[in-house]
Amino acid sequence: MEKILSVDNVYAAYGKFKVLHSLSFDAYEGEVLGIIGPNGAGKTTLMNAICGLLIPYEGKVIFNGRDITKMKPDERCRLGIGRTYQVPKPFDRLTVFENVLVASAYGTGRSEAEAVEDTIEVLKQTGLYAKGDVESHNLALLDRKRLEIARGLATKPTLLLLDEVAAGLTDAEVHEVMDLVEYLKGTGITIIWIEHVIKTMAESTDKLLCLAVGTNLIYGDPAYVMGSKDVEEVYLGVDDDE
Amino acid sequence: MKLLDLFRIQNTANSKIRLAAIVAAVVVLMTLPSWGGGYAVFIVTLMGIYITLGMMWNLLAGYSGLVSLGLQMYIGVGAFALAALSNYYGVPLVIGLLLGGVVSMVIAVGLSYLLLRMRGMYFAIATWMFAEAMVLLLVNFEYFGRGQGLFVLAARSLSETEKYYFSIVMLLVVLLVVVLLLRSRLGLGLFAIRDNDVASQTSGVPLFKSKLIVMMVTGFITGVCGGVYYIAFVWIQPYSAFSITTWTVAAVFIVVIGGIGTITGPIVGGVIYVFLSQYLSTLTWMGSLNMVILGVIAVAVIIVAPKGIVGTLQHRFGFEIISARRWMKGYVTDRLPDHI
Ligand SMILES: Nc1ncnc2c1ncn2[C@@H]1O[C@H](COP(=O)(O)OP(=O)(O)OP(=O)(O)O)[C@@H](O)[C@H]1O
Ligand SMILES: [Mg+2]
Repeated sequence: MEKILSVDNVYAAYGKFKVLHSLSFDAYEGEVLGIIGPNGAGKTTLMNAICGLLIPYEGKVIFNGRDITKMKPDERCRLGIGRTYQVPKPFDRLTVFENVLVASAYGTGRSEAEAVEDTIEVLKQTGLYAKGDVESHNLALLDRKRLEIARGLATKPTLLLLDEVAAGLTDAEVHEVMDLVEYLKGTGITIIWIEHVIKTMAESTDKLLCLAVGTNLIYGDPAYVMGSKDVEEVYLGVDDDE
Repeated sequence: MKLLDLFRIQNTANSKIRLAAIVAAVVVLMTLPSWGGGYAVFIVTLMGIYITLGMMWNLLAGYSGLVSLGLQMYIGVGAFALAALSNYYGVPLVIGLLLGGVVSMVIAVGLSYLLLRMRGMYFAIATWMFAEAMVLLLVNFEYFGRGQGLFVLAARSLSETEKYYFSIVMLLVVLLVVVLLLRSRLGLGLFAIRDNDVASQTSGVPLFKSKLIVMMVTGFITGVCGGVYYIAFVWIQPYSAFSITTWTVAAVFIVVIGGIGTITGPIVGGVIYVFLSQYLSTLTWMGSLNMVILGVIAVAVIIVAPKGIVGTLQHRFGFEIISARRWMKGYVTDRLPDHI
């Protein structure tokens, strides 16, 4: 398998507050890489460093053999990196259709007219078609999560970053989102999938990476990582259903 | 046919009424001097200028997240450029207006590179400071008449009707430009930036480039607007041309009252502002108290109807007179539920 992403010895901080340190790992084409770790471990921060919202002060991010460490988020998006947000960030005065149209047109460098067909297709895939003309501030959480995935998908990514798509949902809703992720896996897109609650996703991933206090604690097959003493320790006292 | 597409005029009763209303409004405005009185002509001239100003502040603050307190900079620059070109080099007024707009636009580009990386409050204050610095610099030059300013000499021989057409043609062109801009791909990107600038970037919207274009457009149009105002009033007094209270405070009032982030909000706000400020200026005993009254009204509107008049009406009735909405139902043939 080809390496699609390398995070190489990355250090990142919000101002003076250091979060990531000496973090390295690789992701391979077509795989689903799960990232777990306790609250505040730096999972979302890592995603920000990959998608360009936060520039590491040391280390490199390599995408398809190209150094993108300092590249702007919109350029990375057009290059093939899509993402979703843990706390959904819809364009709330725009309709669902318009939200996805933005990603479909700008994320691929096309005109609006060229992007319409794919936008409608993505809305069908993500179960939002019937709500296309609804202003997105009217959506409930499950649909907001769907919209996050729809927008990410509409940019035609080769690497998709999912940040806690299942968090905050009821069990029944989690199932719906999991089905959607299963669908994404089938499309061949490489997925980096963060989840705080491990059991939701452990089985669906090819590899697991556990982060603790800003660096990689352990990496490997899901069964191996889940069985590790270290992982048990960082999660000690943390209720899995939290 | 193309032009009808532009305004999303379809073959429905609703659309036809809208088309008729727009055509009627344009006809009324274009013929007003031949049937309206002198005072009406004067008032509508002012409205053309203030509505244009409001639309520019709305484009910055309502659509691009750029809260500027420095629009007066472009007014002053556009006006002085026009006066200098017209007085010293005999440049025709229309050409002078456009060149004044270009000079403003060049300054807007410079400001963009200096200020666009700043956040909210800092950007607002910085734009204001630059406008203040500009007038302090300008009054040192004999060329610009020092503290006395300049007359737009060629404007002295214009009739009120001619001045009226400068204002109204500008207004109609600017309205068309704003609608086209918001319906373009750039407009879609601006809506995304307005609602969430972080998510817009990770959806592929180039933040700096989009804001730069908006800064250039507002720089150019506000510069022209300044020229048109001083064609109507002839004497450019530098401290009032570059005054935050004369220009930006008025623009903020107009947009807040009318409805920020709506296309027709500044039109409603501008009409109200001109009537109100004319009325208040007849009460001479009030002096500068009228600014306070405008402020109180604006605050009251923010509390009672934070979306402004047009925003509140649109929310209540779900109908926009001029809209930049992209409806999915316009692209798909199968029926969709009309509600949530
Ligand atoms: N914008 C920010 N500015 C300053 N500090 C931040 C910012 N975002 C996160 N942090 C801090 O950085 C650390 C890592 O946060 P991060 O959001 O990456 O954690 P996480 O692993 O995603 O946690 P969670 O499971 O709660 O989402 C935390 O201590 C957090 O408080
Ligand atoms: Mg997080």
